[in-house]
Amino acid sequence: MTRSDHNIVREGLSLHLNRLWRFGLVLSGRPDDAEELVQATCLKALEKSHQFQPGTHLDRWLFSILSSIWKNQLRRDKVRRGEGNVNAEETLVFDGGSHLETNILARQVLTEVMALPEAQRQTVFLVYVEGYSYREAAELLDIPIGTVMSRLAAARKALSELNEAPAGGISEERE
Amino acid sequence: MSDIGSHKISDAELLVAYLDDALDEETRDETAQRLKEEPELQALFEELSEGERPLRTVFDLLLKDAPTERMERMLEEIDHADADDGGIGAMGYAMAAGIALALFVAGVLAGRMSVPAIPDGPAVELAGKGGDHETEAMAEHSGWRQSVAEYLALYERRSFELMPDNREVQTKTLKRLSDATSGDYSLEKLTTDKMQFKRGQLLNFKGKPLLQFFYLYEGAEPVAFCIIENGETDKTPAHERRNGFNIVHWVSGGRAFMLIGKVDAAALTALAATYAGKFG
Repeated sequence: MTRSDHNIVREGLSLHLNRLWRFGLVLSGRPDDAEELVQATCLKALEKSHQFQPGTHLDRWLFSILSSIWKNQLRRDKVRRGEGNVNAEETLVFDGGSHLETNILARQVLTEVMALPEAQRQTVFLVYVEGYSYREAAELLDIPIGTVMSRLAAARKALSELNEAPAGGISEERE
Repeated sequence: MSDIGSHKISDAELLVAYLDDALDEETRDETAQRLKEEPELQALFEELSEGERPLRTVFDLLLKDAPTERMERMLEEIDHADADDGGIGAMGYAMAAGIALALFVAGVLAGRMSVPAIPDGPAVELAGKGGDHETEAMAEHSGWRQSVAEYLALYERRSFELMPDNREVQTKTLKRLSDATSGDYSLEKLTTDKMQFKRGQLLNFKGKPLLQFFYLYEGAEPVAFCIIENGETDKTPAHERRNGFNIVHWVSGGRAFMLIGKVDAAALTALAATYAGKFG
């Protein structure tokens, strides 16, 4: 590892902290867990900075680290502690208020997405929010591209059904 | 999309990929042709289109809630611990992890009590005499208009243009919305010469059903016609501006109405007269 690798990754981390936190929030559903994920990602990325290939997308590399930490460590710990399933109603609760508090309908959209099963939620986020291609999302999530397609189709269906019952519950179906 | 291995694509997956512009040219053309010829596929397409949400813009709002300063401090501490260690070895990161964890715990404990200040929402530009302020009672009733304005601001013009026009499906959707709200929202009633109906949806605003009908005004400019039953007393149409939109709003029979868009205020007012005549 060289100091130059380290500096590239360090600068990239600083640039992408908020997006990493947002991805952590989408995965875990909780702001404090998201912060913990970012912290672990910073440590891991700096430790492995020699593995980053200059000229490739640093943000995607960081996202893959965060995703892997979530998959291999934090989620397992949460499930063990009995906190595995995120309750959409408790999701995105920011003590002290949030920018989204003022935009009720935007919050509604966010709640709808956060109520999707985790697999659909993270795929929707990567493709529709972060702009990943289907192939890139498949690579990051380590799943076949067909699974990306079926998750997106299932998520679109679920969201369209919510248009029919806006005040109703959200499907409990899980992948 | 030609490289998905042995996965057999369902119609729903195909249409979502079509909506996402993720198909190769040949498959896209075939799908477009099938959509012209197969009513069932059209209906599915419409259904999946209704799952469209302004996701990127909504999730960008979330970035403003990120604890940026705290995370910057955490990153700096990790980096300093590494530099103090004189190398970038495993021990350096173990120490950094310890420090960062301590900071993290302290930060989160503090954070549970106070999250960094959130910037104020977009400014409300109320029309009227010299920058009138809303009273609390006014704000209670105008809150839904502010929310609709903020919500509409999340949509791009392209989102409206992409909304498919399928009369049969639109009619079905409107029948469903009419039944759900005990109202009469037929396509004929909702459409005027200048207003090309695109889609209707039912939202939930503080537990009250909020109907939202999207249009393209004169085939170009997005406009929404919205209705909420909030028990207000009758009011004649009035104009205001919020979030860069012109709004004409009125109340009749306990239902509040609004037309909102970036069209000229006079044109919107004329439209409001038409819609008030039709709906109350």
